[in-house]
Amino acid sequence: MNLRPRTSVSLLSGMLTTAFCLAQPLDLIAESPTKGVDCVASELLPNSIIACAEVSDLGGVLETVLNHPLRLELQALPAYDGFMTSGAPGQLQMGLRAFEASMGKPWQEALDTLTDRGVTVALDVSDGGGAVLVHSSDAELLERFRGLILALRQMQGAKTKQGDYRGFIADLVSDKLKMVRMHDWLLLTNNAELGKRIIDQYLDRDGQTLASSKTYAVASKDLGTGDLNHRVISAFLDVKTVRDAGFAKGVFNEKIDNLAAELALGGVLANLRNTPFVTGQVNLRNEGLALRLITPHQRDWESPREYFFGAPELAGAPPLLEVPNRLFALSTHRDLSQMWLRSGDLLSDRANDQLAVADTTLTTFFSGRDFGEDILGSFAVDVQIVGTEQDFIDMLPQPAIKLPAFALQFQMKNPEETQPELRRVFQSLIGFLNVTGAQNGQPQLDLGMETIGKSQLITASYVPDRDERDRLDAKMQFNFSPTMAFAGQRIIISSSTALARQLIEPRDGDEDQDASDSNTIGRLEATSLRRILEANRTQLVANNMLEKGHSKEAAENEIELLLELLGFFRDVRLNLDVTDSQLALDLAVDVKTDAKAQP
Amino acid sequence: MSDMKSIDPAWAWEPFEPTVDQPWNRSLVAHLYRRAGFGADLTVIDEAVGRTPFDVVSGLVASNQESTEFRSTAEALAEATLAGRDPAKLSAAWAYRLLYTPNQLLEKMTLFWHGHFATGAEKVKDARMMWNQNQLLRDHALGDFGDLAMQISHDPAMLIYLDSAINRKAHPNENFARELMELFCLGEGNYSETDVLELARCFTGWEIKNKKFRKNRYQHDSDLKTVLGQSGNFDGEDGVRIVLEQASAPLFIARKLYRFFVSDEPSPTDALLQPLADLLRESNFQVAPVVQRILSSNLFFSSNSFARKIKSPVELIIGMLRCLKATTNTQLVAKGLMSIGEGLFYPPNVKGWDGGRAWINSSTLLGRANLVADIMENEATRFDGKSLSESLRGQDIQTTEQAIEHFEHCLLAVRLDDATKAQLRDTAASHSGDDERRLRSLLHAVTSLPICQLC
Repeated sequence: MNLRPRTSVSLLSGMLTTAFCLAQPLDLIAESPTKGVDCVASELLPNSIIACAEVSDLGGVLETVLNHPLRLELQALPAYDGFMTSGAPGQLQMGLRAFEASMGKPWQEALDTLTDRGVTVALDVSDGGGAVLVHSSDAELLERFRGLILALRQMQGAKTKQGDYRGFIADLVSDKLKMVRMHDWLLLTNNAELGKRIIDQYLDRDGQTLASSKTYAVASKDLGTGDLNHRVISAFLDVKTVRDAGFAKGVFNEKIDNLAAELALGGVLANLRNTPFVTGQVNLRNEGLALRLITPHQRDWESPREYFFGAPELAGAPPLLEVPNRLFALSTHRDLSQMWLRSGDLLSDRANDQLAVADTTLTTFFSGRDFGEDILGSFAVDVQIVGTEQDFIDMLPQPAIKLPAFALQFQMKNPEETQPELRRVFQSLIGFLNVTGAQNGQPQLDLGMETIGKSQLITASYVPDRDERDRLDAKMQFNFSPTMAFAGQRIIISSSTALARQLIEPRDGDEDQDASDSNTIGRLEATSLRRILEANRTQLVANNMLEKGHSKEAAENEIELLLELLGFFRDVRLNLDVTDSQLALDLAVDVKTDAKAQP
Repeated sequence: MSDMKSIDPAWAWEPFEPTVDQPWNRSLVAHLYRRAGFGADLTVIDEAVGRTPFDVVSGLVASNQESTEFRSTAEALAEATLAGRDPAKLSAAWAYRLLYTPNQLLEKMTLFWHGHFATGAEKVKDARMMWNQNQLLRDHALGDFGDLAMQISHDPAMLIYLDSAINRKAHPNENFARELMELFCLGEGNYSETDVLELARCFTGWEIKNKKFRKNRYQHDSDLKTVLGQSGNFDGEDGVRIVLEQASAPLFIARKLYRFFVSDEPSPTDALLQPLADLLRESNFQVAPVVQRILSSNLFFSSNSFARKIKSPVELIIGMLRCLKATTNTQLVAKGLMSIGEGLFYPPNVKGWDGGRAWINSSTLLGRANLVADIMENEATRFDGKSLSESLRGQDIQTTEQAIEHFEHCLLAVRLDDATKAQLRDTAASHSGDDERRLRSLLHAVTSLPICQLC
């Protein structure tokens, strides 16, 4: 006997009955349109709001997602069948049927109408105070929705609790959350005072609001730029208030402990210590999702960060390095020498102490030449990093864990002087690694030298033990063949000889690539990432078994799904753009609109 | 406490026959599975109740080789773990094996030999050597102890652990020779210091080169030696053979097996153990017949054995998981076992784990409760692939009372008294979280009970 449909129907009818009982006739409540009807959310929210985000077109988002070209591909995945045969879709379907029955129209249409004038999430400066404002063109539908929420709550066994404020009924919908419908607005808040201020503003329209805040007004101009047709979320964060209130102190520390973090984000963190606000925009298209964060910027806010932004003019990043099977590339403008020398202004005392020790060691290593001034100072301010998938075909021994290769490229200011010095240091370093490696039973590196055209490579490759030459599960070290290459003004420090060889070869179009206007540009290629993970499938499955206690079959299925899903992505792009008045960070995730057509 | 002298050895090792007073029921079967393995869920227990004790024990002992499929999965997992070269990761791979193995007795005996021929990864540092030793222990777990002792004397991990990787005739290393007699085969008082020196000379020239065992004939002392009363130009193999020929050897092994399977204390008399020692000698040190004799005996199913052992951390944690058909993050389990004193591949010293009361002190007792709490809170923890509440509902367990009774049947060697049950009911009632949280909290409370530490 199958009880499931009967249960669903009875549940559905029960919910509907309760929903209609709980939903109040529109003429019985404080319903007459008031001053707040035609305003926007920022005109209802008080000026103590420190962060808010508005989803302007939820219906459009749903339409893009549900009608995306990849949907059929997703449905073709074995995991999709597995999901459909599990109990979860049945519960989801039942929930949607209840929603549709309550709303009196298909769920997608109902959701579109319910939110067609925007959904705004806001955070107040007061302790954890938050509010969600749903603005709809259909007040009656909003009331039905309210009834549905209350019905669901009653079905969970919770008692109905209501309060009244200036003619509006506030329903308790969870331990802390209250819900109020104000004509075509639905307000959800966990903070009674915040709720009252929103209702006051709705009725009186005479208080200080977010819209009347000067900071928000300036931020709104930023939010009004860009691709408005595909905008799905617009967000605002009052950084100054957050800073003044003492939140996230670690982010706003004047000096940080971590050299790598300073190198990567020093300029951004410096900006956050001064900027009044940040705006965010999320755009959704069939081709992918893009996030843009914009903040005001002034060069004199943090003068020590000239190494980051450029001196005396703003400087751009060199082009991304192009190599076959590229996994990632990152190019940026950074004056490493200046950063090293100015570390006293940039880093905490603790980090500086550590840096002083490192400086002494490196200066000794570089035959007494000052590491910051002479060694780092011999490089131009262009930093290029690239990672690629390694080709292990026809190579023995093969490492059990197959890692990508990566390389750093700098421009030398004076190659004739720098090249011999660095070559010598590289050879010393390999010798040092051999000595320490031998003490720990690690394989040894064999030094070599290659000349290709006018380029020179100093190579080092691990020598396997005699009985381990044919192994397919060799140590991780066999991913590496450290190489330093010199090609004209360029110096390449690579984890593999093959990658260094690729990088010294001039590629078509290289000469056409100019430095970009962006301070930092980056790209992660999903296809290469997928192939690298695929090459390490055994390790991923094993890790899944150990971490999740899965059987081998379940672990294999999960990893297969991960790889399949990764196959839908094209790349992730990053850009950090700096002008005299603005700093903008763009992050875009691109998907393949036709996965089968892709390699 | 019963007087061990009053126990008749003949009665003790006679096969157990169920009676009206002591029927073959869930309680006895669960006892058998807790000792012969790590525990079984109620389905397995109920199935075993339908068979005779002899059949069930015979089945456990006969299952002394892993199926090709399971072995291949376990080895693939270990190989993948070995790629990282970190012995600590191997612990998780073994914990996974303990949790999933269909050959519980085989794995339990592998753990026994790991404690007997204790070798620590902390000193050996080489994950592959540790894994090779583990496979060696597993391959011989229910086989020929003499062969195992011989193999272990060639084992690179063992020789490195006992500082015997280089053993030259000019300076014979006494470590392995001493431990072979004291800890592995004979026990204290059954050899002299001279025997240690003479036996050490037998092993000269045995060394580890490139992670492999080899005999360096140039460094072997080929002069006459006198070991345990026998004289000759002996080498290491002769030394192991002579040690195993000693009368005290089978009694020593029988005593360790008794303590592992029957009870921590009181210590059994030699007379009680002699039938087992005789069986070992008669069977040329075959382990399986002795283990079968112990597990099917009157003594094993008597009050001298029931709840007379303290669960090791592995028995507590793997047992809880297996009895409830649970799976979890085995890296968490391995790390947790290490923190409460039974790190797999990390015995505390060459003597292995002391066991018994040494498992429990105020720190490890708290650590046990914390580890169970960590497992309960870990999102990877599932019960028969479901949440605990779904799993219990699937077994028609609806109320707190029924859940307590279920946990009692699955996890405890002795029944709960009314006061403890009331205390558990209060614990469950006072929990304000959802059903899942409440049941996990109840399970945590049950496993933290002192009574749950008994096996």
